[in-house]
Amino acid sequence: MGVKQINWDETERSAALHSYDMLDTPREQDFDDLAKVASEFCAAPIAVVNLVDSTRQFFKAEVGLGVRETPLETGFCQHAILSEDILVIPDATKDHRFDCNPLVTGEPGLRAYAGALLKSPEGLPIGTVCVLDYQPREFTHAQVEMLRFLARQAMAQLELRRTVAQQRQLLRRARSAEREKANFERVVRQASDFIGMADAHGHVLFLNDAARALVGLAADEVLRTSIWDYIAEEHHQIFREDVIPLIRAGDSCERELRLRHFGSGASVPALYSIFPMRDEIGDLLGYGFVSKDISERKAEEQRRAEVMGEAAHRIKNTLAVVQAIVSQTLKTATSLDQGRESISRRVAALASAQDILTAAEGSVADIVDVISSAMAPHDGGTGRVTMGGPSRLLAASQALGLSLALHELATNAAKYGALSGDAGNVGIEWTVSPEGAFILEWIESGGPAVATPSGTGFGSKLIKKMVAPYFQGAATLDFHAEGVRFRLEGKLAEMV
Amino acid sequence: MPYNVLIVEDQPILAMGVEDAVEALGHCTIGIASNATDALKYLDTADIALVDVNLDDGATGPDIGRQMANANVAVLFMTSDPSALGAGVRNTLGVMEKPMMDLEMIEAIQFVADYRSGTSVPVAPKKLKIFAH
Repeated sequence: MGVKQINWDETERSAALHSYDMLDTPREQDFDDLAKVASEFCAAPIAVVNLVDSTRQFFKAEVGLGVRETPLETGFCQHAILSEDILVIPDATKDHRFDCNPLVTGEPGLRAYAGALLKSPEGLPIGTVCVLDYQPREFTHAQVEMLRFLARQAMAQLELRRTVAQQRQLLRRARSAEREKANFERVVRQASDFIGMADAHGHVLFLNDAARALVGLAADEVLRTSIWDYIAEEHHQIFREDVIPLIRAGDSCERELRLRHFGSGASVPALYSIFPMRDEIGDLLGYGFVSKDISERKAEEQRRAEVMGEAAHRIKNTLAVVQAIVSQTLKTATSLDQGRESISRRVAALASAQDILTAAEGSVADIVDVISSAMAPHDGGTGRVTMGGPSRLLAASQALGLSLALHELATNAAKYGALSGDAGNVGIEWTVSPEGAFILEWIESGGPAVATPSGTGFGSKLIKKMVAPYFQGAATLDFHAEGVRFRLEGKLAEMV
Repeated sequence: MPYNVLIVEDQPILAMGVEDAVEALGHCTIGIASNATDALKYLDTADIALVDVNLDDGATGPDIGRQMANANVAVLFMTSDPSALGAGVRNTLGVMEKPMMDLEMIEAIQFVADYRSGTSVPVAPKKLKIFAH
């Protein structure tokens, strides 16, 4: 007698069983009916639809047992699954495989067994439909055939369930993929950047919301457009000569381009990227394009350029003043050295006025600061210069003119006037009426006797002629014997 | 021949430099104005106006220049911000950018005077940008 070799191993069999996902599921009418038919048709007290797991048997349906699972060791079916398709044992006490089985020798005293295999489509046995009896007995041909039929029915039910389960799983996957796709679409659609897609001919297939908002297109207008329609006229040439050749060659390309607004026709500055999109095998699907509205950045650049332009203009103005000082000083200088010194002092006075304006951020400066700063180099901390008057704002040019005039007055005082000896003083006092009438007086006292100087230099011109126009007023310079007196009358801008 | 020259400039120090140049050339400075109202008082008496762009009352220079030119005054702008004039102001001659050298200023004033006299071909210094119209 030869040896029969089974052609499956337990791993495969177990995998096949588990693929039906039936173990430990609740009772079901479809299987209960099969067990009931088996029991009745075979006139057997026990009938089971049995799934043989690796370590136990699970009863999907049973009649006359009252349990859902039992250990394998004492079962009949592990023997059945080694048989071709049916195992019939009329009297277990006379079968060497079962004559010592405790279920036979002891309670409940099983005697007869008939089981048909549940076979997967690949031929793997996963269980049985079987009947058992407490009496030894024969099974008719019809009964055996019925068990076979019921086993096929049980398999059909299992297959049906597995198919449904697989389809549910497919559906779940499809739904999850759908959700994922929807989320991606949402990301693309709701991204704040301009995102679009065109086919290989440049016909636009998709534009996200931000893109449509940027170029003023309604959703139903997108499909009639070409990628060219989005580029502002003035940048068509760059697009044609620079961008198109790059993407034709398969490269991506990023440029600052102006996009056209379909509604207004205005152009919007954008950082525009375009790249070829390919499928898994490298065939060109079309082009993706992503743009970012850079209007704000451009506006900022423009603003910065304007600020720089304004600064350059102010600097040139100041240079023009410096140049006038230099040229006027040189015209009347008695020697190059004297000219050089006068220039450097005057430029320093101008610079200090500029400092105050810079600190005050440009257009206005406080008269108190302007006078203090102009006199600081001449007072030398001796307290010989006193000043008093209200705090008021001066326009930039007024601050500059007054600084230069005070500088000239102080220079003269140091050379010939009250500050030339050890004793004299200078008092500076000013008043401003509510209407803006401005009077400033410079009074020297205690210095050497004063003689009227020739007064043709730039300094005296500055004092006598130039400062007054800054205040739309008049200036007088008197050489009293007791000291020089300067009086400036003009007006300040109304306080805002 | 000597001309009556109006200087429209809100920086007295700069105006004085221009005045020196005008007088050195033998012309007469009939006024220094720092705003439109003062400048336009000389509409009928000025032969030549040298006009800054930004004045006490704002960027009124271009408008002053236009009105002066329409009253047959030879107008030359002198400004540190020539871009404010764009391509130029109708009927005015051109613009000198500040700062400029004394000699350039003299050449520029000479150019305007020659233009005004119509007797010789005026020669503009290189720095002078002549308006095309």
